[in-house]
Amino acid sequence: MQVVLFDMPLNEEDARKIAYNVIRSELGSIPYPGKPELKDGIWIVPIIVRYPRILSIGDVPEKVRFMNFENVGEIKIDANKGELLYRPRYYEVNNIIKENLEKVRITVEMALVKVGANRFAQLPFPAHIHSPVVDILSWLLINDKIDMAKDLSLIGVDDKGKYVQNINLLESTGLIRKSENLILPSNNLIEIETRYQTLPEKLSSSLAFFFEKGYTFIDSIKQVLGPHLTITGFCYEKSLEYGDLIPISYETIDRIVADVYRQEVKRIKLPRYLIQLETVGLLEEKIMSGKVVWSGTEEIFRKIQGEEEILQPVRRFFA
Amino acid sequence: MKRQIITNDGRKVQILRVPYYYQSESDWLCFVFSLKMCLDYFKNIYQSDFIRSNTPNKSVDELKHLTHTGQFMGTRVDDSLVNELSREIPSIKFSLDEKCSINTLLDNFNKNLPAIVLYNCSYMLYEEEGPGHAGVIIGILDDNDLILHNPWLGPEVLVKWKDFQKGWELEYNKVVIMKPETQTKLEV
Repeated sequence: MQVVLFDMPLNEEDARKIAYNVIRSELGSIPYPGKPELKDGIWIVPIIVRYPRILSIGDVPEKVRFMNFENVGEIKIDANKGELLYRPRYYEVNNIIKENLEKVRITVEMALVKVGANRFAQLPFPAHIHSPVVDILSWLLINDKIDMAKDLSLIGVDDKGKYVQNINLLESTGLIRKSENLILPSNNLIEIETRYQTLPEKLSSSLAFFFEKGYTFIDSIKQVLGPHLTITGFCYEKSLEYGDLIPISYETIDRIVADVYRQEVKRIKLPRYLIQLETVGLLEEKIMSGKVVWSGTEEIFRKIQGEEEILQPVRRFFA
Repeated sequence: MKRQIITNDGRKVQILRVPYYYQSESDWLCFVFSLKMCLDYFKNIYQSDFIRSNTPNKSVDELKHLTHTGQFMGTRVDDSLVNELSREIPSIKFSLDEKCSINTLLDNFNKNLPAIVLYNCSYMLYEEEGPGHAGVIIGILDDNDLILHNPWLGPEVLVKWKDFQKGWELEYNKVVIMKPETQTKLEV
């Protein structure tokens, strides 16, 4: 039984207090109650989230920013009885916060892929990375065409679906075209083939083109770029939140890779990834107070900031 | 248990030797880190041998689990949590007090006890309401200005009393009080 210790009918302050107690005991410390509104004898109190993001220079805390996720639910209280009528479930609010954070991450990755396309395309791609995009482009560059009926029969049913999906993505960027059962180079790929001499150059340039034009297909791009995109996405996202390039410690990047991949083998490769990213000009190594830290490059950061169309949906989250 | 520091505006103050841990990338763990700082103080620094011997070493992960702290949502700090903490860490009696004043904080400090204050850091910094935050009071100056370990922003942070009050009031002046239990509980 709910014990009510307020005068009836409830005033705004008391409604806020009830909502505050519900939030703190049922949801957590991150959400907070907004301004209550009285409607038909019911106090409706919005639940608001301004999500904290701690920004550090290396390992030293510098400032905290708050991302505006605004209303994530509401609490309803009977104004005459003081009874709680409705509150959202923990997982509902948790999922909204999680989705908003994911949206920001994906959006920053898209902008980064678009502006850094040429540099990402220069990264070496290990043979074991399952990447239909690289396979399809490589096949066309060497074998000139793909016979869907014959050549795709070489792969299993599960993988075939992924290849077909990626064929459609490449077609939408104008790199390939379909002609009945055949996949052929389209104008953009032909132009790239004409411009460059060696196969590695042609592959790298066609990938850069795909990244630049197809940045919205971020899931497929992530299959190619994987940890490189995870690491750079994190570094540039932090810098966007901070409003300027911010150096990040190796330990922090290591934690992120561990959280995302949960595979020790990926963590062992972290130094290699960082060196590769520095080689292609996506990250820079610096020394701060005798410690090695990593940050994005000025050029890429300014270009990301300029991608207004891509970043517009999440601009409001950056306070 | 205390040492002297000089604040960034040149004032000398005695503070409790509470160890500081920076919250780093986990944006939702301020209460857990505040609790860790206090428990390590009781474990390693506090004056009573009995309390030092009987306070357990708890890692951040163990405290996350103990406090049921959720990713993205933070900690649900209520009477139920403090009761559970008291059960799991019997050397300390935890309580969650509301409508506290500076006298509560002074009382604790004078007994060499840190206190975890729940306040609205965003409102204190930017005059805009935000998430609830936890910090550890380790020092109090003559004019009630506070020295706080802020898991977000660093150790020994000087906070003006008038600024702190603004953020504290939004969280209804709540404090998690920790009182050492020096008597062994009788178990039947």
